Amino acid sequence: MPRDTGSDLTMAENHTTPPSDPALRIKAIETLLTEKQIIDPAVIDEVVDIFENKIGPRNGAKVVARAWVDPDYRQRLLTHSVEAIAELGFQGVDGEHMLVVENTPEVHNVMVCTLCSCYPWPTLGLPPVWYKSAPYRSRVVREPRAVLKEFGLDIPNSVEVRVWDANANTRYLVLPMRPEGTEGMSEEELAALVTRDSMIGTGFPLQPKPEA
Amino acid sequence: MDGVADMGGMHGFGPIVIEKNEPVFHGEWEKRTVGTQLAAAMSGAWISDECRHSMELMPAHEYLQTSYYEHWLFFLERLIILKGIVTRDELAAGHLITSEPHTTLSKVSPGGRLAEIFHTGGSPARPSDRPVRFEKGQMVRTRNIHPPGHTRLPRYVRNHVGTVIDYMGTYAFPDTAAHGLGENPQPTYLIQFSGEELWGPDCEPNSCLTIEMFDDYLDPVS
Repeated sequence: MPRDTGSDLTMAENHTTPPSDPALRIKAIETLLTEKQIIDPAVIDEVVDIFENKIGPRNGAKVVARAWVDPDYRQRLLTHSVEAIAELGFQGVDGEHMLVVENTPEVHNVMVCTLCSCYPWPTLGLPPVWYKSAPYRSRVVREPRAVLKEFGLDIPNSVEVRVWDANANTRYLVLPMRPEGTEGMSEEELAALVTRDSMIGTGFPLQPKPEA
Repeated sequence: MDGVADMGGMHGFGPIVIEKNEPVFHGEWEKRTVGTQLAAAMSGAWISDECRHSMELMPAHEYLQTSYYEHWLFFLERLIILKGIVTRDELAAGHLITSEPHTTLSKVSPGGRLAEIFHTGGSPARPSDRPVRFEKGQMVRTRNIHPPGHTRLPRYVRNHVGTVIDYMGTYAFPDTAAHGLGENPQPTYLIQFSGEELWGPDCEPNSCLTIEMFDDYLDPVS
């Protein structure tokens, strides 16, 4: 395997001057790639639109709500996750290989990418800063219960905690348990209870509002 | 490589800081950065494994003290030079000087084509003739390897015994693909390790860790 430190190929080799403003750096990269005809800058706006408006946790919430109301869909979701998620129209970049893992009264799941930031984009969009940060990446594989407690989740020792490190091709999505008192709610109403954190495993779905 | 990015299990990073109602992007430059990377990757300029390895090469103190998308700026700057797209003078100047204003790559145009590529994705699944050596329920030991280059076998998992939960198919191998040494497609498996196996007797109770291991990371347990 080559010994590739890359130190002769980066701006970082000059440690005496601070790196310039990120805005200036990306402007230079964008200009260069445009002049080389490798990118069309109009594509950048489209990509931003995808991440700001088209994909995000609302997609995953729909998947979870469907699984809550339809036991056959739930089974497909757990055993053929990519295809089941695609039934609702969600698929593609960073979702090509998925495994949905279900929370039960005996098991609580939580996912991470210790090495970088791998995350299921089609169902959850881009990850939050904390997911990509050193404290979460370092600690959740070693002390998941302590981390979950910081998120406000008190998982009893009798419940197994399963951590999934998304180091390779598979991206994970947690299927949280359906909250009590949600009988008769529509799929749309159920989806509104599903939080982003409940699909990472660092949260629970919302409780339904009590009847007026 | 045994760098700071391979941080699973490390102590010393403090509490998890959460920003309430965090926006998708914290500023215009982050939008341009994500958009530029996606556009370039979709034109075939580089692959994710090269991006990930480039970020790992950030000096440790810079990696820890910069924001996440600054790590992307680092890999973008590294790859446009490493790939011979522009010269270092051109990167410093912010425009072409001597490089030809074209490549063999075809850029993605806005409109349907981008949405189509996004929707299809880019799976690393590849056919392989390599035998599927392990089956569900079998015990395996991860290898005590310390590649100086890219690997997706984190340190905290090396030289540990786990159980095969599932076979996942055959995929391009990041350890070689990231260095332009070929895809080397091979089987991957989900391996589950008990908390005690990874962290010793002081581990938290009743917890386990599951991770996807390439065939080259594993040996059978005799």
